[in-house]
Amino acid sequence: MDKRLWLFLMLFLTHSAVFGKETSTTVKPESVGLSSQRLQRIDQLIDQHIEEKKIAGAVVLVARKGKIAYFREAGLADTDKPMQKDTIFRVVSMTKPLTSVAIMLLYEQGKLLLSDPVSKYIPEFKDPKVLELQAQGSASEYKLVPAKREITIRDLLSHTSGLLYLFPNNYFHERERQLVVDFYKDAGITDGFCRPNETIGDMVKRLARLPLYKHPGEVWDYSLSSDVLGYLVEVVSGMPFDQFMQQRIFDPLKMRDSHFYIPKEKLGRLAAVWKSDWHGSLVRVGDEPMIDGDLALCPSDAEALSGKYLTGGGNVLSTVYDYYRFAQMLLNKGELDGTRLLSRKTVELMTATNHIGNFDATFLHDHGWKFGLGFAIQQDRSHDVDAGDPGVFEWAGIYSTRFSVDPKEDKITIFMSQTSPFNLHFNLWDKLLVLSGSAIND
Amino acid sequence: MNIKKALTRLTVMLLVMVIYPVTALATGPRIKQDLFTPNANSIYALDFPPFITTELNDGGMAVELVNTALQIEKISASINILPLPRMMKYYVLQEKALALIGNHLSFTADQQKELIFIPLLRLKEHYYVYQPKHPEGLPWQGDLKALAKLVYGANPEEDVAAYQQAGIQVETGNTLTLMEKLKAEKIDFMGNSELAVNWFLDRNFSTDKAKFSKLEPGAGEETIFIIFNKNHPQGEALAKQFKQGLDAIIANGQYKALLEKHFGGSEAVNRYSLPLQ
Repeated sequence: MDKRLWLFLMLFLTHSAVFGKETSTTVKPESVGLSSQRLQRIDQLIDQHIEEKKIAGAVVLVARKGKIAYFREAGLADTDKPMQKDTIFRVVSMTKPLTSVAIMLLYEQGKLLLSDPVSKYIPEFKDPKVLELQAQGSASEYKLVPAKREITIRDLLSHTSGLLYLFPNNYFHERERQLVVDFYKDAGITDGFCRPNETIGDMVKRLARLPLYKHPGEVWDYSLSSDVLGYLVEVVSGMPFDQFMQQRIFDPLKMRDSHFYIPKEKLGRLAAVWKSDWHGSLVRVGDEPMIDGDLALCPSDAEALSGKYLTGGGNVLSTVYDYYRFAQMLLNKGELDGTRLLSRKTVELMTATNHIGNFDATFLHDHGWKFGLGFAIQQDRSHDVDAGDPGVFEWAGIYSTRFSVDPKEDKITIFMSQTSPFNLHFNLWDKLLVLSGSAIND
Repeated sequence: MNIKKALTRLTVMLLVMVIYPVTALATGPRIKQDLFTPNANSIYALDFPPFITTELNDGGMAVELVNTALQIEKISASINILPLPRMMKYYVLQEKALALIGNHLSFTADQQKELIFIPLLRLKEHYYVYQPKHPEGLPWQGDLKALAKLVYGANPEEDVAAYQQAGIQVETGNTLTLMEKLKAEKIDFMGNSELAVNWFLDRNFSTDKAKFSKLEPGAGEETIFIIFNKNHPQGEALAKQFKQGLDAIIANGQYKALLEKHFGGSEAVNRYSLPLQ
């Protein structure tokens, strides 16, 4: 081949590689009403946590008015590699908002109604039973009573289904919860943080026939509901869940580093998980599962190149930038870079409407927080967990990843590390949101 | 039409509109408990694919056999497939359900007095090992003592007395869990129907299928029962009627035809099962 042709091809390919990719360029913070000086306080906050060996490393992004104003990596992604902006994280429960959007895409197509009983699509959910404790001295400790109504798709999206997760059993000690969790364990139901050797459909169809913890609509309890939604996407769309997500969300939003199973060539970009006691003991987690009571985590499962378990509750691996694109789409009321994924009305229904009545979304948050269709929504500013404004919506992942969207201030904050246990990072996250909010300067 | 008649009709129409608001009808039925129509004759079946499973439209071979015998006797009953033995026991002992379908369900002597066991299907069983751990198989010739000190994977309610007497350690789990333990080399062998093992090999172990080895000779048999509840108001009468129905489908050839349909021909019936009578 002619040398000039080779040169042209090389230049073309290089150009495509550089300019074909969405840019994660940052703008001067002042151009979007943020203070550079104040944003630098985030550097100090994260660096201090790294120096004190509370976390190994992190990537933080703050965006306002559709532009990235702060994007910084710090510390280590693994023992032998520094954190990078494009480091890939196990976002775990930050998969749930993605799954909720997948359901709403089908909703907008008229393929389902939020009021539909789940049993319309997954027959095993027909005629659910609720476990109720019996008076002491009764022949049986519990009774399985018919649910007052079936679980609807809205219940799954808002975690009012009466289903449970196993791991909160470590924190909330009630007999009914324990009994239902025991049923789950006997039936081989897991939280999915360790990927079992079965399909999500196999798990969901077993789960559907086990007793509920409470009557649908009469509880708010963080649960396997999103895992059921993931399977529902498969049933309604006729596509494997990962393919649906790829074609309908990841590709249109150009989330190029979001996957259910990591491609081999990206394995080197996957961050390690670190166990921290928040007092200076920071240990890289190996291949063994991390078991703490009813919480079972298997960080090394994320290194699998393929598998059959596709869960809507916690499977996705992603980057800060990819997740920013997803969050920006929501902040833009369903549209990003000219691609409309959802309508404004649907995003408003998901993010601006309380779907849990008088209950409070206290898990991860506090009183004063409600729940939409996949997100916690701040309701007032008179409680301890304050993300800056009523209307802020956000969620988190169990390896210490979080995102927060403030529609009033047109601002997004994303933090990702890979630190366990997750319940020690609240202080850091709350401070980060204070710093992100107090950088507003217009 | 006189005014009085017209007024009467109008009043009736208004009353109807108040009692049955059209708005509720216009939007179609919503989800309410009264939409459920629970059958007084509830039968609960224990997951045991491919014989009892929600994965197959007919519920699997055992469920279809029961439905066929019920139909021939015109018995109305609903069959619900559940994943756990203790849920089955709850429904039969606490909720006085009509019957259970399953295998490996253990009951105390007192409980057994309240139950009527009718065999539905006799399955041949084999032991399985994981080749990487036992490349030469096991010294199994029909005597459990030859397997002393090994670890056997049993179903949760399986009678394991014979294994313990032979000096064999026992770990429990459902079929999929036991196969995973076999692969993880946490147990040495497990027993089950060849079709049940093949079901999970195809679905969950497709890449390792060849590493699971079946031992000869066979390990005995496993019977799937329908178990009627004497404490159900019609339990004893319906058990008798069901037995008549079962005998009838055996006599008229439907039973054999169903076995051939599910097993895949008469040769497979002989390979996987034993005659019921």
